Amino acid sequence: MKTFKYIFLSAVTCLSLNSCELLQPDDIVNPNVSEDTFLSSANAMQAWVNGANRSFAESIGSYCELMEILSDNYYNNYSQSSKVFDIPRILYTDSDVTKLQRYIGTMRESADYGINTVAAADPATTQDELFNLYYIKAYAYILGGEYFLALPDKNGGEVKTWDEYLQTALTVLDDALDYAATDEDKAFIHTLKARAYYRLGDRTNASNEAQTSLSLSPEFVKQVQFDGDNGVTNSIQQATWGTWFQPLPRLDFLDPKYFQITSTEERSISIGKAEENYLILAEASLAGNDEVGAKNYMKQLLSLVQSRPVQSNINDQLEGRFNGGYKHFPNSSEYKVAASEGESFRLGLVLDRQAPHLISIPYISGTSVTETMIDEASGIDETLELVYLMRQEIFFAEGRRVADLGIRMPVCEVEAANTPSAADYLEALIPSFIPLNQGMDEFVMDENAKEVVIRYNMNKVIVENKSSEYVAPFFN
Amino acid sequence: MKYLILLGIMLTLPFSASAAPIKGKVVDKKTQEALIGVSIALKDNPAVGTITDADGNFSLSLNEQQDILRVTYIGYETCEIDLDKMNHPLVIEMNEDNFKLDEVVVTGQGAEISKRRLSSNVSTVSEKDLIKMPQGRIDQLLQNALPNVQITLSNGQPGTTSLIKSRGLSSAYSSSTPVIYVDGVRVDNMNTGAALNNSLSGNSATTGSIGDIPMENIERIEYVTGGAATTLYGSDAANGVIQIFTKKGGEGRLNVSFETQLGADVASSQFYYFKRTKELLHQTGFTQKYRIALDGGNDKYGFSLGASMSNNTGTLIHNANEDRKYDLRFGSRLQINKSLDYQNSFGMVIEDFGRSRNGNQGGYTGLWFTEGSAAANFDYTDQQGNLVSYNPDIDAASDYEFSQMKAFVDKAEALQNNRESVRRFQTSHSLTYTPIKNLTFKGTLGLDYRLNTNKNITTNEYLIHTQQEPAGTSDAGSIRNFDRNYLGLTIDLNGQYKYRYKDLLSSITTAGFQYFSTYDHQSVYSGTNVRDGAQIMTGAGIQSADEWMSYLYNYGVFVQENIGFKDKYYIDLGFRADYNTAFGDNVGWQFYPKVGFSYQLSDEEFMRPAIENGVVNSFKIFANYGIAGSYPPAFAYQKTIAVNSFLGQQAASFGQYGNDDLGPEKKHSYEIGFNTVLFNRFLNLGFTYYYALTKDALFSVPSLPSSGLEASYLKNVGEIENKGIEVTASFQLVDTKDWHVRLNTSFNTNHNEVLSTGGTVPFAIGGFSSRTVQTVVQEGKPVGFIRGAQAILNADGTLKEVLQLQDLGTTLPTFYGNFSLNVDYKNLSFFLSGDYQTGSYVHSFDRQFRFAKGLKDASIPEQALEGISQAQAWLDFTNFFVEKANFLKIRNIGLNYAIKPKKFLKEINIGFNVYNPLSFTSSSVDPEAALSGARSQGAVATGGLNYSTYSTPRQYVGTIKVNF
Repeated sequence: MKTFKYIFLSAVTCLSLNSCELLQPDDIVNPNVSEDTFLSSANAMQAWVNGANRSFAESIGSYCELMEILSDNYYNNYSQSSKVFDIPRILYTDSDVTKLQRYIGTMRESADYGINTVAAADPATTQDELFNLYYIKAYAYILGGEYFLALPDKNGGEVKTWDEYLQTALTVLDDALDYAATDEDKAFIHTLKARAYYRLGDRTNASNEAQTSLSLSPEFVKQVQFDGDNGVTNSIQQATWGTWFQPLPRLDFLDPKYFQITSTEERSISIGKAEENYLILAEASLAGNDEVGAKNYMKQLLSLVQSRPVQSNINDQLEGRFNGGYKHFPNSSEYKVAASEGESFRLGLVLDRQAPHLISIPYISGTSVTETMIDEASGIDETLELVYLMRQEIFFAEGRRVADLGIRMPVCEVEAANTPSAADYLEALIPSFIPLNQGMDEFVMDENAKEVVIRYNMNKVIVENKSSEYVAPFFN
Repeated sequence: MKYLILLGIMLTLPFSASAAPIKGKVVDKKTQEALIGVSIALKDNPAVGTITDADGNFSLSLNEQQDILRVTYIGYETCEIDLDKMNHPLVIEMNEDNFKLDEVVVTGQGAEISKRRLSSNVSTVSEKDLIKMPQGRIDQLLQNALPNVQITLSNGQPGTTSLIKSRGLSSAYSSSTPVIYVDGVRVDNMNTGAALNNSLSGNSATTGSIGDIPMENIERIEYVTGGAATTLYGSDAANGVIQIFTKKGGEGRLNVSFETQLGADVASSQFYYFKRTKELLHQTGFTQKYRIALDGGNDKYGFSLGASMSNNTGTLIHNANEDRKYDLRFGSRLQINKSLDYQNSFGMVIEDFGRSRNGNQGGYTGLWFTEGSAAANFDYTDQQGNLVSYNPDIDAASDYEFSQMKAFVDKAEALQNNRESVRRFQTSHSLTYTPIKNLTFKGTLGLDYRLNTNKNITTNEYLIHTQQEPAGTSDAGSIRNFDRNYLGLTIDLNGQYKYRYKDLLSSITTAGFQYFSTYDHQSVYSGTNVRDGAQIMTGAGIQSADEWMSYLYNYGVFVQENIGFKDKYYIDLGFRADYNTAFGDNVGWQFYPKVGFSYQLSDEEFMRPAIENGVVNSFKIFANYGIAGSYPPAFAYQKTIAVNSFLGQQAASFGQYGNDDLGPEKKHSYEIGFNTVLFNRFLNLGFTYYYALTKDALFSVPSLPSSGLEASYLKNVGEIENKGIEVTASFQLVDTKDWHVRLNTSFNTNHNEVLSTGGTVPFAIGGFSSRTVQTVVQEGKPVGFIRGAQAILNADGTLKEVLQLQDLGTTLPTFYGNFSLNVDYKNLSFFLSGDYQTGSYVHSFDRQFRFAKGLKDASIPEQALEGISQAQAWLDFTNFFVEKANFLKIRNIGLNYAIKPKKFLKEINIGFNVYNPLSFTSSSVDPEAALSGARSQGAVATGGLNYSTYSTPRQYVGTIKVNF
């Protein structure tokens, strides 16, 4: 009987051990998508390209936000976003420097992964999708070439200098051209090539590319799109429409370039537009001592800018020009602004924003430069200053100004720790003619006389230093 | 309870029958009250013994009279009685064991074992202690009850996280919060914000899961420090274990008690710079709490029920922090037959509370507006009709301006609608089977379910009022909902065999299997473009949702052997093998050994003179080495593709970095120490030196930007050292029939250092950007030191230079401890408790903001600012805003009087408590009210950064409790 009891108990025990199956880890499955699953499912390329565009847009938004405060265009009057780029202080340990480099890495690696891996896995890959990935990749090299001293151009690789970056950009842009379907797309690529040659100081090639672009499309605009409904936000819109950043008083009439008509609207940012070609051609003409030719391009440019759309009836009444609470900015159209001490005061640069005023903003390109001003400019330097003012105004809030000022960021700490080749590029390049201690954003405001005098006219500073290696590349 | 003990002892002690029974009685030496259920056995042959009856009497038949009796009783000191030297009839007087040296504990041991045998410390908090600290949260309750643990509440708003640290920080990745068990069931101990949320947090008021653990019906709490003491918990307990035991039955007849607490909450203005801050933001809060408790039972079964409901209006205007809570727990036991015993417990909490914006939420937050001088960011219409901004110095504002400001703040607070709720259910069931004497099997099964929901309604009216949207906006209103579902399941099976060979050898062998799973599902569903007045997102112009899921299984088997020689030398050996589904593909079972010894020096013959003259009452030496682990988050090892939505289509991008080698971090811990009772039980002194080295520490390593991948990923690369001493000293100052005065103190030191970061560059674990102020991990520094700019001045006060990214001080105290004083006179008792720390620092962002907005700061000389405005220079002077975080805080002062009426009622207790009455701090801000710092769910937090955070209010609570 006892034996039977033990046998019975043992049997029950053995059977119940089977219950352990219910505790086995087999049903622990990652709820997210693995790489293999992704590649083996249909339309992987479509999703990948869309994803690359999404992160591309976010990267561009972030570049614009940070590069604008690094330049004289905007001052960060709030506690969010960088408080040191205004100085400018750019340390290789700065997390924003790391972030901006990561965007470049992500653009390049995402494009390469799409071109090499996803395309191989997805037979439905189209030419358009490859074009899209190639220009993202090229744009990564352009950002690296315009804003940095040097960067690795592969995962964990040795650093390549900014001019090497721009040369690679040109190669990738040629690849992109193979897939460009429309004239607008081709014009966009040629404009980017013109931009790369411009920065490299190659006047001939830059002019040729600019001409080619204009011949393909004299008014194209290429933009990155955001999606406010899905939380893909334009960060410079948040900073400018959100009233953290205050523009240099002479640029008040262009702010905010990105605004909201509805509460989730996220405006697109231009990454290429026909205007750039005219600006390059005008500067190239000046470098060749052809003032008339330059003025001719500038007038063509003016008519293009004037043809660009303007959004009227924008309610910017929350903008008191003291938002953020650090510094007061002029806030009514009564203010006259002088570009620097001794220069003449100009009216019409500052808008009335308080109730009941609504404002109108040119959201592709806008300028305060008039035909008369172009005509009145005398000599290469005065005209060149006007070209730079137009560059500043037309590219306003597009993050481009920093490159014109010759400022370059260093290789970040994390990357530097990985490659000894970064050792010579750990300090930012801030040319000696760039005023420090927030000098670029400084101005004196006389609230009684309603006059504003900006401390430094940086366009004048650029022209004065045009022969330096850092600015006005055609003049080096 | 005593009947339960009686029953237990009856089961294990066979009665011996022989001639010449000796009779006697056992009483409490002090009160002369009879003691029920005292175990009396022959010292040389414990098999011969008995227990005292309901009147404290016993009878024992012995063959010879020359024996020595060993008398043991829970809560009393074990004594030995030489029958030859005693008068008859025997009256044995027992000393209450004020220091609980022979207490039986469970936590960290697999099954019950006497403290005496252990090679590590176990802190216990008894029901008697708990009564003096009737706080509503487990962490608040334990704040001064665990001598070697530092607990700080980082925010005064309800439901927020706390910082629980012992022996520094052993991880630079995981939260330092111990694992928490309730009746053997592992419960949700998330003490950080959740993964998907938290829009309400502002980085400083994140909701954790600690604040809503059911608190009724608790009988006892045990705590063990992470290391050798938690080896048996394997990959789960590097930070130690808190175990809560609940009541399962009463003492015979039905006991019923009712309790009412009424009180007032007052916000402390001690840490406010502006006199007007309190006026703008605070009200006097009203607290009410009602409790009922009943228990009963006999030797076969027992039950106990505790329930309470409470409401607290909070100290923020418009009852923004109103907190309502229903808390219930039921426990019972049943003796099924001679060898089978069943116990259960059920706990439930329903809690709803409100939240006000704080911390760095941007836009408008009340404290930032006031203390952070963000008032300057907002406009009002002055008496001349001009639109101007508020004075950042709110105390300097004119009466008219202040009246405008007050109206603005009042409406801004009133228009906030942030509600949060918790529904929590816990249950534990255990079956104990004792087939033969000295062999016990125990199985425990239970779960913890917690549903946390948030609803954050932002109206257009609020956005317009706080100047974030222009007047006339009707499409910016939003409703954001957040749900978190947590389910934790625990199955624990263990067996314990006790063997004893005379007085020479004793052995306790414990082996077991433990399984737990955690399931955490979070979702956010939001609507934007919602019309004001809507409470749900139905019909919102734009609807969006997101989901997050994490679940894992952990399996462990363990064996522990505790061998005793001559009841004074003990060797403790343990081993656990562990597998967790969060481990990477290349990581298999993990092994955790421990070894320790304890030596009861005072039992040596050569100590007898010291024992007899009372200089030494007890002296134990112990030492141990053991490993405990901390597993990584679920799925973190897997490389993924992230899929988002963009322009109406799927958008795929690189997701999680992945790491196939991801395993647990392992804390290798060594301890040596002693515990002694001296001078006729006047002093209990405990001393421990500890050294803990976390190897394979998990770091959230920044990935190379050129990889283009996720910014950081988890890697087992670090080494973190913690060392120091822990001293506990309890003084039984007076111990007479009427008077009982006891002072408990503790002194702890900690040296924390990151020995290696495995080549990783310094990285932040909290705070803001590298340009402002962060808490950082760097080789050679303590975990989470404050890093920021340092302005160095010349002797004449002018600015010499500004150094970036400097070490501005540690956030980890180097010296800390707590204390409590009990004074009982007859039925009147007085209680005081508090804690202190030194050696750490805190940064005040509000002060730095005020400086940025132009207010003068006494610490920065005018000369330092020559040629530069405060608005320009403020970030260069961060070191001037880092202050010593030394504090001494009195947490609780209580007075209680018990009336024992002769008829009808058993007892009436009248009590009065003041919580947080006094704070002495070296900093101008509350060093505890800090950004939680945890950057992700379950991540480490160090505090040290104060930013527009509400401190815990002062509470005055009167209690009346009636026992029937």
